[in-house]
This record gives sequence, C-alpha cells and structure tokens, in this order.
Amino acid sequence: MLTLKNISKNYTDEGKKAVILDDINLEFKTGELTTLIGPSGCGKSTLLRIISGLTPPSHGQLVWAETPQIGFIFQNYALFPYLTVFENIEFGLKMKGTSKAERIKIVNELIEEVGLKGYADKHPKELSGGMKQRVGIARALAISPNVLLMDEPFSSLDEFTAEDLRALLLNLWSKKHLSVIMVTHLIREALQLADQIVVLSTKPGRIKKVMTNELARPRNLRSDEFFKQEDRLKELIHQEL
Amino acid sequence: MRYTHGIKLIRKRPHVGKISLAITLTLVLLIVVLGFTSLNAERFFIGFVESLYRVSLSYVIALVLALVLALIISASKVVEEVLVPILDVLQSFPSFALFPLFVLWFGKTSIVTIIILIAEMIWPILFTVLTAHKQIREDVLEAAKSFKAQGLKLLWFVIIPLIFPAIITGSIVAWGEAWEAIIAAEIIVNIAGVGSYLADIAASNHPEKLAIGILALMLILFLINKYLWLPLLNISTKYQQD
Repeated sequence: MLTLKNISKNYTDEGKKAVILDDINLEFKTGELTTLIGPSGCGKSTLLRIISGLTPPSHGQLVWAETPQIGFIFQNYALFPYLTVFENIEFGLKMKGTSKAERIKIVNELIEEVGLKGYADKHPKELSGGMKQRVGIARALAISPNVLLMDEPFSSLDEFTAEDLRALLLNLWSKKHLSVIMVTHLIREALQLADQIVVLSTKPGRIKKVMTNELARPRNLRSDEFFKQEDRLKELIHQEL
Repeated sequence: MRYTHGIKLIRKRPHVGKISLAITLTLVLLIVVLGFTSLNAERFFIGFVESLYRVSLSYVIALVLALVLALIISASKVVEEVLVPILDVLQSFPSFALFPLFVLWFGKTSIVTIIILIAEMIWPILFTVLTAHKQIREDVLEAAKSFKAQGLKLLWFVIIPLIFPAIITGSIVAWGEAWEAIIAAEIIVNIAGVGSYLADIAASNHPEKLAIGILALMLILFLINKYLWLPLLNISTKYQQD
C-alpha cells in the first residue's frame, strides 16, 4: 500500500535544529492494521501526519501503490464545535461536492453503523468522550477512505468505552477493507489490534523494530501467548526510556 | 464563556431581570405620559434614525476592516510581530484628538462622525477576533485540512464559524462605544442626529424634556440589545469550542 523511503523530519526552533524523525524506512500492506508504538517524543504522531500529508517530510519519499483516500481520526476528536453530529459527519462530503441527497444517505447509514442513532442533531458539547469519538470515526469514514490514520484514538477515553470502540474499529476494518495505521502508546492495545507493530525509539525517532503480530484473531487477551508477546514488547520499549 | 457572564446573570438571577423590567416599564410610562406632550417626537425620531444610520454604516465598515486585518495578522507570524504593536499604539490613541484635523479636511459633515465611529469600533472587534483566532485548536484545523478544506472554503466553513462568538462579543462592545461616541461627535459637529437634538433641548432650558429624550434613547438602545444582540449572543454560545 505504502512505502516510506528515508523519511526524516527536522524542526528549527530559534536557530536550534532538532531531529524528530531520522531515516524511516517502512512498508505498509494493503488491508493490514499497523500500530506505531513508542515512548512519548518518539515522533510517532509526526510520522502519522507526514503519511497523511498534513506535514511535509524534510527528506525522503512516500510511495503509494494507489492514490490514497485518507480518513484521519484524532486523539481529542477535533470535531467542529459549531456543527451538529450530522453536519460533522457530512463535512468531508460537502468539501468534496457530493450531492445533498447522497450526503444524507451516507451520513444516515454511518450514524446507524457507529451507534449514534438519536444523536444526529446534538452538538459535540452535549456528547460524552466515547460518543464524540464515534462521531470522529464516522466523519472520517464518510468520504469512503481506503486508508484510516488514527492518532491515539482511544487514549482520552475510559477503559470500558475504549474497549467498545476497539471492537467497533475491528468490525469496521474488516467490513470496509481498510488499511489502518494507528499511533498508540498502549502495548496491550497494539497487540490486540495490529497485524504489524512498529516500535520507534526516541530522540531522534528511529525504527527500533518491526514485528509481525502472529496472534490469531479473535484475540484472547488472557492467553499465555498474549502475555508472552506483551512482555517482549514491553522490554523493547523500556530499553528506550 | 467569560464574556457572556453579564447576560448569564440575568438568566440565572430572575430579580435582576425583574429590576430591568421595572425600569423599562417606568421609562415607557414616563415617555407615554410626558413625552409626546412636551417632546418634539418627530425631530427626536428623525434624529435617532440619522444616528442609527451612522452607527450602522460605521459598524459594517469597522467589522469588515477588523476581520480583514485579523485574518491578515493571523496568516503570518512575521506580519503579526510587525503589525500588532503598531495597532496596539493606535488603539490607545484617543480618536477624538484627531477630531479637529478631520473637521479641517472634511468640514463639519457626517463623514467626520463616521470616521470617528469607525476608529472607535474597529478595536474591540479586532482584538477579540485576534484572541479567538489564536485559540482555535490545531487539531480542528488539521481535521478540516484532512478533508481538503483550503483557502476560501476553509475560511467560510471553519475559520469564520470558529471566530463567530468573538465577532459577536466584540460587536456588542463596539456598538456600545459607538453610541457614546456618536452623541459626542454629533454635538461637536452639530449635524442632525440624536446627539445634537439632545444638545438643543438642553440649551432651550427644558431639563424635563432633556430627561425624557435621554430616557427614550435608553429605551430604544435597550430594545436593540434585547432583540438583536442578545439572540445573536445566544446563538454564538453554540459555536464555542469545548
């Protein structure tokens, strides 16, 4: 799906040059769910923004196998506060110039699909965190993306809600044949969701290890194998702290 | 939320509302009973309409100028660093100090009052909008950009709605200051308007007429606030970021 070739990112802050990402080479396969994991400051969010096109890399190239249609999901939802749930989900379609009738059809389907029935006319302010992130997910899916980029999407939620939304994500991922790249700092989340786990090291951000997650789906979070993998990952990341 | 505090107070504490209502009713009564017997109502209202026209026109011009300036400043860090200190100095400069100069250029005309009004109104709108623009969340902008909202689309569908509450609160302050300025400006320039009318009746040595004129003006401004600005303020609270 996507190959990253020698991606680097530097910032110049008041004359001082800081290297955020250094020579990242990576491959993402179509239809796979990849998690980028690492301690804070390792540049994982920056890498996601480079992939999305929101931030240009300082060096290197992104090579897409086909033109990506990207949906982006944010840690703090980033909903438009002045729009209703319906209008938030509709936003991307409006920007694309989709017809009104088509928009209504797509948005209503998504509202049903992500569990927001009855919330269409509410404003973000009136919603709980979990509901807000459902809107965030629906909004990203409205433009029928083939790539979903998620920046710590469940980190601001309580564990019960986060678990619900992880199940929702897995469901949507398999149903809609999405390629997902997700940033997380939660080891268990990475192991539960990912096909491929990319461990980043910090200062500067480099790839420490790319792991294939062999655990069979649906994943049993209390199996011996899961705990073993968890320990392995933990050790890798702790070497970075 | 901070700036809506005053109005919230009325909603939360009914007695404040009741007192306002009592004052209003007394005013209405006074005007009805005394007003039209002694006041030249026609001249008063024509004067008021003249003043309202000047305030409204100046408001529209000041609003457009403030928005354009705010967007230019927000677009670039360099422009901000150059312009904001200059504007800050200009803001604190008393615009009435330039009155004689404007009169020299334009004569004792309506244009002078309009220029003075614009110079009064532009600052509260500009600085509240600039502050609001700074507070726009980066991720909300990223979300918009992830849907390819750029240029005018970004401005119209994202930036303007996000700064809408600030436009309203800035406008309310500007509107209040403008009425203060127009009365004074009209008295100085001595052109038809509510200010010069009040000056005239004051000069004619009828204090009761002056009182009624002032009360009538207060009533009308109160109604404009209640039926124009308060509803807009209520709408704008829906637009606020959490």
